[in-house]
Amino acid sequence: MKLHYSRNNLKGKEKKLQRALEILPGAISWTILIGALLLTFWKPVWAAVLVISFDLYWLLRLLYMTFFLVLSYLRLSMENQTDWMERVRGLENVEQYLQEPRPLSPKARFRQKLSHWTHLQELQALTQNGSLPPRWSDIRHVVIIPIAKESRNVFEPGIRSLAHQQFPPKQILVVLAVEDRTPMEIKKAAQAVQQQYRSLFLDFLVASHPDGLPGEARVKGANATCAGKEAARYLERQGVPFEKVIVSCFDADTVVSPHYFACVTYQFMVCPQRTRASFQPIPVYHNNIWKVPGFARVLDVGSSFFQLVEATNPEKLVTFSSHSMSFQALVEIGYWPVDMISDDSAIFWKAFLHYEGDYRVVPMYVTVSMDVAASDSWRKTVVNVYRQKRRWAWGVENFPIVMRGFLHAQKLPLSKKIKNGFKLFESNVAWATWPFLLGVISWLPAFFAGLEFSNSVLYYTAPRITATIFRLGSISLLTTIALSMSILPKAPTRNPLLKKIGHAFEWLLVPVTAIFLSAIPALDAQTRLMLGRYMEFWVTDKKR
Amino acid sequence: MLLIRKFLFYVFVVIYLISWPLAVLYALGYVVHPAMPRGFVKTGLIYLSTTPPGASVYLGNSRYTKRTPTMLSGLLPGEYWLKVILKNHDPWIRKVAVEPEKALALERILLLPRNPRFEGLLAGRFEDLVPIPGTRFLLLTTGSSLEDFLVYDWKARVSRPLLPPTSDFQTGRVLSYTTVKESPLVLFRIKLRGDEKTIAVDLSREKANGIDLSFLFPEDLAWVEWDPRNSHRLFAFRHGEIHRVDLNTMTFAPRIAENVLGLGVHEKRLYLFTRDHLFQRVDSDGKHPEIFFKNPPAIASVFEESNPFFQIKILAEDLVLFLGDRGELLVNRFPYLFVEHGTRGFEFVPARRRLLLWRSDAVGVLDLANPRETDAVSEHPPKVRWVYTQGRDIRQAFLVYKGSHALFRDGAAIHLVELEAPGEPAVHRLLTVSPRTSVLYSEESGRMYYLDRETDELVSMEILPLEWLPLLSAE
Repeated sequence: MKLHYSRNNLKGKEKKLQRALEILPGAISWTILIGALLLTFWKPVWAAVLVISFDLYWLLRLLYMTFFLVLSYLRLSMENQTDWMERVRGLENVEQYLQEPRPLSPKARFRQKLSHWTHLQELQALTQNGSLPPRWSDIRHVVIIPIAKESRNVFEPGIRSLAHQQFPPKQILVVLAVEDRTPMEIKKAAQAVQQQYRSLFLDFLVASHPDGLPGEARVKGANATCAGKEAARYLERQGVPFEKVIVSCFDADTVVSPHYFACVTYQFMVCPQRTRASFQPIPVYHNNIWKVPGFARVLDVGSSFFQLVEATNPEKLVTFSSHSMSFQALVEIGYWPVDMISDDSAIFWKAFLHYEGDYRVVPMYVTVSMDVAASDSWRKTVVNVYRQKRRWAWGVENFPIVMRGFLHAQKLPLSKKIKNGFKLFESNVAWATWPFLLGVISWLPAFFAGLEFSNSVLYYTAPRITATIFRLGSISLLTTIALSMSILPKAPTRNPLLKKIGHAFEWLLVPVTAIFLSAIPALDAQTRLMLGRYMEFWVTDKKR
Repeated sequence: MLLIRKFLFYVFVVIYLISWPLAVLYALGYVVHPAMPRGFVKTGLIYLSTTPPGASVYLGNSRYTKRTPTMLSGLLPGEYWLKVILKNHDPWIRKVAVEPEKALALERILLLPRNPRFEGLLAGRFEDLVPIPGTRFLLLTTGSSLEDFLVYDWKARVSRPLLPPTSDFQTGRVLSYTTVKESPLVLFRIKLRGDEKTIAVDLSREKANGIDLSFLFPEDLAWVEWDPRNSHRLFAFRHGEIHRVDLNTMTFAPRIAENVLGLGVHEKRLYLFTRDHLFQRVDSDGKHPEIFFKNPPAIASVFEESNPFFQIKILAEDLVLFLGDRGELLVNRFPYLFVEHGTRGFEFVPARRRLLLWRSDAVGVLDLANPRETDAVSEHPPKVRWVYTQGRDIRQAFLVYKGSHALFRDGAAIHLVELEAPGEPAVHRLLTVSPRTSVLYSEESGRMYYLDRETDELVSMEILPLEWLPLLSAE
């Protein structure tokens, strides 16, 4: 399906529809918050009943998500020992490999046995589908790293991690996508890094993205698109078919695990419709996790956990941050949107609409590590984190475009439209409203009770029921704390255990950070979209 | 994973569909009752909190394992005998009515000890006790001259003579005195060597000689009032005129306002009711008048018909009280005139918007709810609830325990009455004090200060148990 995946250059009804849909998420979020607030004053009984209904829904959803967080975490730790490269090599001849799979050692742990069983399931599905994978030695990777103002010490560790892959780096084409407006010393640093590492890879390009191209905004997607086109020209010159190329677009600070490209190659090979798929790793923020204030640490561990939960639901999984995808799909859909900030999720929706729903995200249980948005001082870090979360929440800009796409997509089943549309809408509204509803508005009916309400049974029972629900919710918090302590790397201090115990207490900040550094930035983003005050891309400060 | 997800999703949906109505119905007071036609019944609830806490609760024939503070929920509508028992305290027994979907909140049950705690504070045979409410001081007298006056600081538990021995006013015979709540300044009208004088003494200053204001107050004034936060500016009323005395500059500003029927001082401003029925506030120079509110005709008519002077008290931002010389009590709330005559005094708790008032024969309570709950068009306007009507000579009353109880002196007898308990207010006679002397109750210390009937010594009695006071202040 051909859709102009942009809010710009629309005409007539399409423009009005776009504007109406831009208003919707913010309007609904504000209506929920103001409506709930007014209800506590005017109809406290209704408000109290709604609060109980909502709190109960929240508890069940929390427990449901916690269950899948644990499962996903177990899967991540289960695949931690997996030799992806061995599996990739085994896929050279799938039928033979299936008949004589390398037996597991009798001493293999339960996790390894489970991973092996999953592997066999995937192979069987592949053979039944009949879509045999290409030879791994024919597969090429393109890694695009857009740079705007990040210094060498921010992007070089990521390039070093590419050179230390299990998958042969000689099959990886690295493209440093540098903005024309980037300061000269960073441009020079990019060239120096190119010279230093070029011999380790298939090739190492430094693509320069001119400023102010028609139809483009100053966004990362425009830079990545320019680099993607340069890579396409390179691959064409080399005679590499696009269907055998996987492209990864990484933030400048992304450091991938040594298994990453072996894992993504494996997932690409076993994916029946591999040219209609993106591959989503688990983002973690370990590069500087112990150097940032506790509230920032908790927020970003929370983000990783959210992605872990999302990974268990591939039907509705959307790409986020650094990830990989079929290069052929990227070229067919016309690369990244060049006028949108949220390029990471926009690229999925663009592909989903282009292929009328025949596009998926494959979760990968391998991590990519990035920086927590930090700065020189505590105060500046708060501002940085706030701006970063607002930029993430600006992903709501996809909603009106996706909805327009759904209206035009004839082949896309209605059920998929409803499921995906509702999820996109509900997740954004929940992001902006839930922390307020849970942390503030839930308790207001008791505070602002009039005489009539304060003499009712509900006045006394509602706070107790809410408190009981919150106590049950602490099961989820304790689980999260335990997983968080387990997933974090060792703290570079004299007493890392003490540091981790301290981190456990940092989770008590969640009610405050959820409001000030999650809900308010989301509400801010939605309000800007609602009022037509569109955001410009703001490069997060990354300090090391 | 997808299968597990779908399965669990439906399990959670079912859990929600079952638990949601149960939780909401429980919250609203419904409980399952198979004997009832619909299988459930609307219930009520009692919330109990006592001081001291930890009392056992009996409802009807059932004893509850939880101790106070506690909530008895799921109660079938009807009348119950409620009994609260704590060791070494008088049992608290009331008949309570439980209504469907309603909560009966008994949040401040004060359990009286069988053996109250008394403490002798100051030996000596005192004739009178002059309370200075809202301060840490009280005055004790052994005679009628200023040299017979002692200042007692009940916080520091120390006493000292009112004036140093070198003071010129030591021998002055006290004719009258004026105090203002929360102000340590006392104005004495004395007779010294044949002349009448007005002396100001600041109790918060040790060795204060007293300031002679006689040249500023050439004759006795009908009424003197000041703002406790600005005690150096006194406002005197005489013949419909307001005069100002400045203690810092020792100056007298005559007639800063005229044609005045009522005067109040609040937060450095004067509140005046004038003969032309304007209720206005002016600054301390009598300038910059602002109409405070348009006076309802009902208030104007009372002013017209009655005597020439009213005290004005600003109880809250939206609440103004008028107290006339004959004891007429008005509030700017419909129906305005709450007591026609005989009001001797009042106390107000802003947090509860509760006004305690008393006449010689009765103690009453007026609950002045927020305007959004009760206003001029309300079908149930506020009215005085007389909680004690057997009085003979009620001279003082105090609100106790955040306004949930009232302590009052009827002659020499001290009584405590519950203001919030269900049914007829229970009145407890606590003790008899030295006749014709005043008492002082301080919520801050939870104690009543009085002169012992037998010995005339200063004694205090614990009304609120001291160990629970931090809990009280946190409420």
